[in-house]
Amino acid sequence: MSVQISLPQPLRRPLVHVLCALPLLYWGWQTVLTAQGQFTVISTDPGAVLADKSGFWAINLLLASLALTPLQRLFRLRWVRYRRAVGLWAFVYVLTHILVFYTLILGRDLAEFWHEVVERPYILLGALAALLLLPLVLTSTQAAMRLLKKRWQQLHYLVYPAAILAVIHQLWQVKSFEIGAVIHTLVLVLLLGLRLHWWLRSARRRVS
Amino acid sequence: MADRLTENDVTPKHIYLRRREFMAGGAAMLGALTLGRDALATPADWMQQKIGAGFDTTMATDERITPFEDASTYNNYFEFGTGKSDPVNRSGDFRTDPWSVEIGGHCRNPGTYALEDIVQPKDLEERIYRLRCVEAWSMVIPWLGFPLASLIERMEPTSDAKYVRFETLYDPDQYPNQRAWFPAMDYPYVEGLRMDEAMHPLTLMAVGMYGEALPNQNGAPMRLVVPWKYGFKSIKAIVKIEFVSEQPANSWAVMQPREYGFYANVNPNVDHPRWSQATERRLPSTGLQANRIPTRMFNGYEEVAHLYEGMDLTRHRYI
Repeated sequence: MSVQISLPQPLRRPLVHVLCALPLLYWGWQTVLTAQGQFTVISTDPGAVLADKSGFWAINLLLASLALTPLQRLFRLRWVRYRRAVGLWAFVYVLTHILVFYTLILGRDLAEFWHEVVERPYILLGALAALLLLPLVLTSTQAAMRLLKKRWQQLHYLVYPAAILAVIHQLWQVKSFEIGAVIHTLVLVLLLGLRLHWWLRSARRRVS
Repeated sequence: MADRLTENDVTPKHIYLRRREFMAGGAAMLGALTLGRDALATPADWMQQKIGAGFDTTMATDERITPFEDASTYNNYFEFGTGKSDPVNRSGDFRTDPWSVEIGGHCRNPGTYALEDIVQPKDLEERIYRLRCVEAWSMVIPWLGFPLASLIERMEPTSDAKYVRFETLYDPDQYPNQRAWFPAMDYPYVEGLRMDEAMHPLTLMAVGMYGEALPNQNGAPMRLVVPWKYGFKSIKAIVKIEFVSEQPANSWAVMQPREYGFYANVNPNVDHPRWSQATERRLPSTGLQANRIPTRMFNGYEEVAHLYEGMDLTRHRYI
């Protein structure tokens, strides 16, 4: 199966960046309006709403970055070249998420921040996910790739435990049925399942 | 004796069902056509008359009252959806008139009462209460209502009545989440109080807030307000009140028994399994401030402490 898209090559990369930035621009704009005293959807409880939205988009983009390889294998969509951009954008949302939690929910109380991270298992999982992503961000340059050679690929397998932890972090904080958390879980299971399937198949080939 | 309801006060169902059905529906439509957050359906005429007749403020506060626009757009009301703005955006067409409440169980005056017969003349008073949600945020809201005790006295419960059980409307036509593929919880929503809690003078049956009839998203036409308990105890859109002898199985305690209990008294010393209850965010977070303040035992309503004498409120069965 092959899907044709006809966007001129020079426009594709900027489009990826614009799409990834849109949620941040929208919620950033709402935050500016709120700071100016306007009544917006985030006015009443900006901490809760922005933490929810930033976390939601962080996982969306993290899963999107994991989906690009399967999309290429299944539908010959050659979007893998944008994987680094999508992954880096996911981390932008992770940082926003942590910043919102620290400033708007905890009121810049560092002691409370550590207390929450240590005390609340689901927050600890989220923190671990963010920590696992950090070395991937730091080694995302071409130079790092050349330097680390084979090790680079091994290091970047960390994205899988990070994604699993992030989705559990989201699932753990829902009060009841929430469609976003369920969809993220299903997508993650599908993506991991596909990779496991391919890995087992190639392992069998190697044996025979 | 004068304020007791008798069988003669019970409006026959075929009469109250006719009243103003179309007016209420039309007004709700108009409301919904304007901005979503302004979709406040016009309440019943009789309700507006009763509120217009005047009321005293019997409990004031020196705390800052939460602006109406926050209290009426940031709500937990899962029947309309789990998002905080779902209730205001989806409740414009909700019909609150005619409305009847089935009252039964262990009492001498059971029956199906029209709401206008439940809300007695000159019965309304304004009380400004703190509302502490189990999610660790709080507001300060001026409610308009009457003590639940006065309604209970009119029903003359018998000695078998140990608890009061409340039920929210079940109507999938009107409540989107009740007809969803995966409803957020089992409906109808159920809550309950021990008899002495229900009779406590702080326990309020609210029909209004901010000097007007309740907006649909805040639980119109009649909801419970128990200010020393987490907000989920204050059940909305009540259609059934029953005097029972066993502790009612309230919805959140049924769904997540590890996290929510029957008593649900505000208690800074007992954390929710997933987050701290020691502090709360007082909403709105004006100027993007976290507004974190310490949570007080019984939400600051220490006068109820005697109800729980001898009970270890950190023990799971009393949470």
